[in-house]
Amino acid sequence: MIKWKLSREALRLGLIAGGMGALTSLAGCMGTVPQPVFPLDRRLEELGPSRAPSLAGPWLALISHRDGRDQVVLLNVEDQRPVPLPGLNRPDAQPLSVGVDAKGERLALVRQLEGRTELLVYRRRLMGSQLVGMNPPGVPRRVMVRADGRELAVEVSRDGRWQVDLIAIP
Amino acid sequence: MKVWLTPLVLLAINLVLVGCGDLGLQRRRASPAGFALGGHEREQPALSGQGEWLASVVERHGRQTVMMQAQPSGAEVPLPLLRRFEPHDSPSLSWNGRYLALVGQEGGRRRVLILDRASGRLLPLQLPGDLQPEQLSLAPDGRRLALAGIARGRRLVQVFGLANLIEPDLPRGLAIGTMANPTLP
Repeated sequence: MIKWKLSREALRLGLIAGGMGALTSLAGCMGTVPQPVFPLDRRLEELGPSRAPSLAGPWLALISHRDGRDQVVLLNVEDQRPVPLPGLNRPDAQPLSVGVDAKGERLALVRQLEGRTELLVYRRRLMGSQLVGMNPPGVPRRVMVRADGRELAVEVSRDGRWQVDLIAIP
Repeated sequence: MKVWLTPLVLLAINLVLVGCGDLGLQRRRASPAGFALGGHEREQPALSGQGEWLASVVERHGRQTVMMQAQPSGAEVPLPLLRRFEPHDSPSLSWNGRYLALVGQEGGRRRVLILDRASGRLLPLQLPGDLQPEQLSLAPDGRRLALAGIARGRRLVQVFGLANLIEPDLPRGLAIGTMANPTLP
């Protein structure tokens, strides 16, 4: 009788241990759950449809569809506030890709304007931008800014091939 | 060598170095993608915080795969843990290249993956909601991840905190006390 009781107890413990093991394995298969940043997500929902994020330090740059056109938006992730970018968003331009450095000082932008695709670097303190030419000639598509703000990595189309250029920020 | 030739030789060396320095500082071509790649075509570049590492997407054996190279040598780092998650998209690196985040694929589903190169651990993230990830950006310190994708038929960007999953990868020389605002290079 005692033997029977013991083996039932052992079976119960075994089932519990097995169940816990299965749950652990399942969680392992499913992956690890990152924490959403709730107040920021609400702010991003308000911005409308968005794409092409670039995250560095407390800064998030992205392209958002607002007021009937695509625009570059720079947000401080910590206070969820958009930062003004005077002179960057032209109503006649279509932004394609954006990058920001960890100080939020330098932004790089690929945009289409008057039938051309161009790359430019915008300095927030100066509220001005500078065009960056492709050499040898090519058409830029994507850009990222190194976190220390000293270099761009650009995806460029040349002779029907995609290449990568690394350009020191002027 | 005659003594009077020495200043002339030094001048010549200086002129050559100035010329090279100027070219090197302004613009450099990314190190070659490797001989096995034929056309040397590559896309979606991502540099680490101080430019020591470059990740990009190349086509290898007919699959889109991420390639990670030291700069400027071009020496490639093997990434065998990521192979079963091809095709790869949108690589993004932390400050010192410790973390490589990207969008991969598993069983027909797009997955967000973070490879910790220091521990050799691969973290497949389980995203809350129904976001189909397309593009991502890892904050250089590894504290946050921005994802762009489609959820409920709408194109959106979401930001996730990673502080409970991975430790920070800070720029060299930054004291732990300044971690609250690690924006300095």
